[in-house]
Amino acid sequence: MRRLTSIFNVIAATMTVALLTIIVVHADLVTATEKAMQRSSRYDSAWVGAAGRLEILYLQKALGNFTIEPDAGNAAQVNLFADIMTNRFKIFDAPGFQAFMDIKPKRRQLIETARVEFAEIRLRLGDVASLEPDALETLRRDLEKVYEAIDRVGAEAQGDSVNEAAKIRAEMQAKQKLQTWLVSGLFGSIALLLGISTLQNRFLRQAARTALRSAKDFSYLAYHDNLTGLPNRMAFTAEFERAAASCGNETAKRIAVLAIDLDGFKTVNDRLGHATGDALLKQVAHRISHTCAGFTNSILSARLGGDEFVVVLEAPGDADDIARQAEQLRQVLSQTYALEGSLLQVGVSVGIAVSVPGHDANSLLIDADIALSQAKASGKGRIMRFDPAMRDIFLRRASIQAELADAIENDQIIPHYQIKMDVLSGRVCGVEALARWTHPTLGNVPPGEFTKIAEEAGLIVGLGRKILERACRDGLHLAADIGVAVNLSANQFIREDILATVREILDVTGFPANRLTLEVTETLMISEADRAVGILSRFREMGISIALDDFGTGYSALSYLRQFPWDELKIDRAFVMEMETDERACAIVGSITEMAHRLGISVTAEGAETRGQIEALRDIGCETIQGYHFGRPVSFEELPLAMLKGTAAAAKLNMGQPPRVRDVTSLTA
Amino acid sequence: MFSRLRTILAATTVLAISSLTAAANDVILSIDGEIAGGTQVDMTVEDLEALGMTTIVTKTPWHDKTVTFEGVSFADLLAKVGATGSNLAVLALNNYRSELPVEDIEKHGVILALKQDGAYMPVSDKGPLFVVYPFDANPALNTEVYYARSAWQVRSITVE
Repeated sequence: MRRLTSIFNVIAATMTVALLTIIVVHADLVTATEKAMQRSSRYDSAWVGAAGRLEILYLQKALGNFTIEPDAGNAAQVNLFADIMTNRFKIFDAPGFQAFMDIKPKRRQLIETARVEFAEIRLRLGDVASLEPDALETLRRDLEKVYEAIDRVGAEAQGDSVNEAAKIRAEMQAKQKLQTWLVSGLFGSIALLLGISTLQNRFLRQAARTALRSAKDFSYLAYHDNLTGLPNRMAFTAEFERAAASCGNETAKRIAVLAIDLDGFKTVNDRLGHATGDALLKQVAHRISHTCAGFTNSILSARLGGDEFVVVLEAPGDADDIARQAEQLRQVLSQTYALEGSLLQVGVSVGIAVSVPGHDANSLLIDADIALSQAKASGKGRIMRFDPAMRDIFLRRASIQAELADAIENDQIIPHYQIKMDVLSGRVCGVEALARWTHPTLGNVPPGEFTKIAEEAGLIVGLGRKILERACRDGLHLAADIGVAVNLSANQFIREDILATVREILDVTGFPANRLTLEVTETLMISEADRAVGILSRFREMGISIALDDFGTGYSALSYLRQFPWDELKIDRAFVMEMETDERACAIVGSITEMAHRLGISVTAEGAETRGQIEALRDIGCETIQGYHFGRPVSFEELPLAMLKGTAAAAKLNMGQPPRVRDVTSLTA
Repeated sequence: MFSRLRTILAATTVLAISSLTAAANDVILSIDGEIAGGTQVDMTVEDLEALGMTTIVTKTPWHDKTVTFEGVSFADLLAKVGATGSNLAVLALNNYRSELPVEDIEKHGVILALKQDGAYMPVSDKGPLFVVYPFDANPALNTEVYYARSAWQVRSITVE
């Protein structure tokens, strides 16, 4: 179209030039024609010549009349026409006739001769009455000569005039022809230009329409999420600012922001593919806008990105009304989705924040988000209303999130060690490395808190590596019979390079593989058991011991025990803590221990805090005990003292003494 | 027609003898046709001059330089004879005949000149009467049409 337009422009420019040329030529022609016309209507020499011929004839006739009838009347006539001829000679001299005379020198000569001859006979013509017949005859002959000259010039004047007229006529015809062509050209050009401009106008209108359409498209795209068609973050921000600004101090003008998030959307995307994820988002968006359309207080619903949706409502009444609407939304969104033939159900968490009169409403989205994350953190599928206390939790979490990477990098997170006591010898047989973060302002951050954030932030692998490496280095400074146990998270296991990483750390630190125990949880066995078993087997081949941690919680399927030759089984503290009060807990621990022993797996009990627990565990035949009774996790610097204290505590329990008979039996069984 | 020519000839006989210029009491112009009374009006130089003289200063195709013409304005002349027609048929001594629309008289102020540069005009120099248009005052008059209407040696006028 642009090319077409430029072609049009060239044509239009050419036509304009042509038009101007035509106008100039035409104007010139008109001037020339006018001149020709003027020429034709100018002084007519033909008439002067013709009149001369007539007048000389009248004079000859008068002279003839007088010859026949020589009376006074006829004589007067001769005199009158002689005067008229005199006048005629003067007319021949007049400027109007000179142009004709100048054409041929002979004409002037003829006229001049005739003038002289006429002047010579003029007196005789005025006095014919006194002339004799011979003299009259001479006069007649003399006049005849004058007549010949006048007649000749008069005839030529007529001929010239005719020729001139013909010439002018031909000239004018040619010019008229040219004019006709030019006028045709003129109208043709005008028609063509009009045509072009009409066409161009059409193109311009079309272009304008296209431009308008794309402008509309662009503004739609700019303000709408192109997947779901819901307003996007940009549109939300604009609309929300307006709504927030109009809140003011009145309770009646309160607004509520509902932050909605799907539980496990990432899993849907990962397991079922992005196409399914997108299809799910579309249906969610549809259900949200459909549900909101049924609300009389709905202001706006938008998709801020990913599976983050937001609904803004007017909230003039009770906050519980908003909670009810949130619940309605949650229920609608929790209903089964039909996606490409398969059925899917997802949980939905909602965070609600309602504006407080007199307070800035602009933080409502953040507040709703805080409430949402709190809802997610406290179990999914929940609706949580924002509480200012949440903000502190959120801020703590946000600051942990912000500083975690640096903390890992700068060794702020380091392993602390909890000793493991060998029941038989009453000595420290090993230590378990546990990550500890002493935050400069927050103090001790619980491992459960920061490891979860590290997992979400994808920092767990780096953290695990750091802890493992540091533990190996620290371990070198411990006695050769003391093993070091390090936890390995499922996330670390997902990485292909876990084997290489562990091997590299052992190589770099020079820590003996047979003193290292890697503790894993059963989570590892749930998703990819075969792969996990493969990797664990390789670790064992390297000489590393493998412990199954937290046994007794979760599924604790006995099949896990069969799938891999575990070196160690760690019984969860939950059972140990109950052993004194709950006989069944005691029985379970006994059964697990017995079963482990039958499978050739040694047993470690965690969380032993009391003398009674320890005695019970010793009676059951647990090989290793770990717990506060022997010592809490301490820094590496404090470890030697902790080991001494632990050994002392063991001594008090008579550990290291020959076991009682019943114990021996159970051991040998 | 022939009788009128005779009258003219008779008039000019006297004129010719009396040394080329018309005497004050000679009839030099006859007007007939659609005029008051319907009978021919004959006029002498004296009669014409009595109507008042109008001057036109102009060049013509028949003169080398600018000429001052004095004569009777046609408007006065036609008013005098009570002419009602729209056209004047002008006949000259040399038998030249021309048509002069009355419209011209109103529009251009045409005169019937008696004098040129202060002197009465003889027949040998466009006399005794000459239809003069103000060519210089109105350049549009410089065409063959008006040249042809500029009759000299005028003898009679018929109002039609």
